[in-house]
Amino acid sequence: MFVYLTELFAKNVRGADDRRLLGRPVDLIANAEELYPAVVGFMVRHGRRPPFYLPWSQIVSIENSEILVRGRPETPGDAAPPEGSLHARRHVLDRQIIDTFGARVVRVNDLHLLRMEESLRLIHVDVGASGLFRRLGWLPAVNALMRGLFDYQLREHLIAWKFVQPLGHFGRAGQRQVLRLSDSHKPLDQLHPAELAEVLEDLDIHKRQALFGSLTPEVAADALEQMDTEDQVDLIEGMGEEHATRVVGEMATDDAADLLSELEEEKAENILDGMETERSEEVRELLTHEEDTAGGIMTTDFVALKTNYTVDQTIAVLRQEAREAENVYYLYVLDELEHLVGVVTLRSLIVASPERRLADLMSTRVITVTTGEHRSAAAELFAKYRFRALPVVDESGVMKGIITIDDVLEHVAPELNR
Amino acid sequence: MSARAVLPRPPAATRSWLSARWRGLLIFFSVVGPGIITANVDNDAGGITTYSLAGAHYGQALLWSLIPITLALILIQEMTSRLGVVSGQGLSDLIRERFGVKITFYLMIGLIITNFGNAVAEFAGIASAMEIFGVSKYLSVPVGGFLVWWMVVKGSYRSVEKIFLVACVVYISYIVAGIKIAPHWPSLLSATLRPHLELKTDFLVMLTGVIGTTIAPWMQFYQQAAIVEKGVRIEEYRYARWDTIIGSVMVNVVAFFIIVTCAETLFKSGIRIETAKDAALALAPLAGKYNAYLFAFGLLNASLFAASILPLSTAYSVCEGMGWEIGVNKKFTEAPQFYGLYTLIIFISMGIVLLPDFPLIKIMYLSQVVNGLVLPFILVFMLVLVNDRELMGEHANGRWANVAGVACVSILVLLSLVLVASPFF
Repeated sequence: MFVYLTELFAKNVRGADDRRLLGRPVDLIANAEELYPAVVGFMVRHGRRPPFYLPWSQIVSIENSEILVRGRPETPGDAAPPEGSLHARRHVLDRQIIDTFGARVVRVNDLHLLRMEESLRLIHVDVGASGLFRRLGWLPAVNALMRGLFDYQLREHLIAWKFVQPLGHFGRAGQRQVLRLSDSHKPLDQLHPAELAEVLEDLDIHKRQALFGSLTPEVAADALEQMDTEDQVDLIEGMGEEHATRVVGEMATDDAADLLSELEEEKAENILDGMETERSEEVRELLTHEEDTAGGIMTTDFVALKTNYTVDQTIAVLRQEAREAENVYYLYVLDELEHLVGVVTLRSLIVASPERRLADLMSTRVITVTTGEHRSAAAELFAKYRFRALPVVDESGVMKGIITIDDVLEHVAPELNR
Repeated sequence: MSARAVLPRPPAATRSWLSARWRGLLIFFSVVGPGIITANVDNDAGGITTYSLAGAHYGQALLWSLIPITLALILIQEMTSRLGVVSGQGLSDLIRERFGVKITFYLMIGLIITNFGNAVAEFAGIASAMEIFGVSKYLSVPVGGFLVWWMVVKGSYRSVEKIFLVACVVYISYIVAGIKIAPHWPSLLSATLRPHLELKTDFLVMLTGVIGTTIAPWMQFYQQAAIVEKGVRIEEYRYARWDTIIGSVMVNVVAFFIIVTCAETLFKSGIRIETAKDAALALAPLAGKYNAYLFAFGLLNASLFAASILPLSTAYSVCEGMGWEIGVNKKFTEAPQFYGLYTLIIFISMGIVLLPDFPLIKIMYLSQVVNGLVLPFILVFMLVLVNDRELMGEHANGRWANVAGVACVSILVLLSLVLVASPFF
């Protein structure tokens, strides 16, 4: 049987034997570490007295208009809600949460609990208009009005708890604590990085910071790549240097370079020093290019091969590097001095027999841009040839990086009408 | 954007005192905006009307009140922006989380009513200002409404803020008008420094009106939201505080010159007026055509300025409190309540102003009354929130800030009640 929190809060708490009035529930405490948190107790208040903790074990029954309890929970004692519990009022009710099913930030109007024989569990949160009117005490009137006038029934808008990411509550100013949830409760994992970025941008700065800090470096980096530079800078500057270094280390080199160039020198320098040497050198190299040139928007995460590789060898290399590379469809063939001598597509690689050498497969007429060219030159090449990626070389033909279509899009998109 | 920095750069070894000053100034300019804009929107059509009436009917008798009003305004707006900086949340968000949905809901209804009344006054202000220039209200109001709607829906907050900051400069036209009158400065000074109180109902109502129009409920919501949106950090907060102080002083300097202009001309000739338009028209024969135009231009600017902020601020606060999607960068279907409320307030206010014989004075009075009913709640909630150590930590109000805050809020609550109860005396 389902019951709303508002209905529970309207019940009187009474002694089971003498029916004395103990007060009304003002908060509900549940075990946050369960997938569907079981209620472990209530905070009950009588008049102006300070609220006391009523453990679930002392509840005899929940009736229509009252909650019957045994013992004397109201006497001052040591009984307190377990540490780390979910407090309905402090964490969820009237608070913002992330609805990871709808990928948006919403405010909770009511909670929807399921009563089974021995337990009461939090199943849904109510974010809809009917929850709002229930809280206000107008739901029956509004429903009657809607039915009478428009033959319309207000719909419930419930979100299953597994799609709910609570945003914690404020501890000391600014130090928001993220509630520890069940290990299998990872609603944020269901979001696409672009959605996660959007959701983060919808949050206020403290919630954003707290939530961002609780993400793994990989997830955080993916989300960060999708955000405006200004928000990126805010987030990175707001977090500890060690964590920031790990997050930036997970970003694509071009995004990392863009971000670092906007940070304060000292901070950027420290982050670079903390990164793996190879990566930080790549990023440093990217930072030497002007922002509006091809070099300024390229990334160094591309797959480089040698002319004497066989198809088999190439595929083995690809297995290793594909994870890091921005684009695996074009594979670039370099000579000993790293000059770009040809390009092989993934398609031609797969259809070729395993022992053939890349020198025979590759096409040697490669369209390139040089690092110093304006980025609009790259955009024009994309428009003309419909490439997915474009190699960038320096004046002597040494391969420096690639520009992918999304790098170009990112710089062209602001000029499109929104 | 500039060329990308080449790392590593030579370290800036020692920062001189001068460059520290420069940095301070730079930070100030990066956080400036919310306080100055809020304060200047405060000099809206309703404000200008009230100040004109005060000057025309009571001469210099009310000038002194601007000093305590300035202090109270600084005190209140400082608290609200501190709340915003520390919590990172808007005021209605904080009220909802702290005081629950019921109070928030009814408070928001009150806010909608009073802001709606204000919005009507702004469009009426656009209409009357343009009528002085000979433009029919059936042209000026729709054009003004469209301009306002378009600027917010199509622009970004940053660009809109810049437009608003420029609009603030236009208020100088009132100062120019005041100085051109060439008042007798020594007597002005003594009138400003010497409090003068008449225990008569209409004097008290006027006084309350001047205070009520300067300290209005939307201001706390708007300034806090703007400061949150700007992402001002606590380290930068002392600069943001100057933003509030400068804004509050500016608004009252402008109010001072409006009162002076009307006191020196209309009051001395014994002319009674009812609206700001009356004031501008009556000024022409007494102070010259250009002064009247300056006055009208100021009114137009103020009305347009406030008309673009009030509906937006209302939609923002209400949706934030109720948990509906917010944002001018969202599509209509993503944030229907936000756009719905925003558009509705603009269009209904425009519609009311375009009615042939619409009761402007009555609507403005009603909105002032609701103002007076809503303000005490907001100020009390604000005081509770700003004292919440769990929320504010070390930035909670200190003892003296609380003494001043409680005193100021009590006086304002009392005066609001006086205004609400005044028709019964």
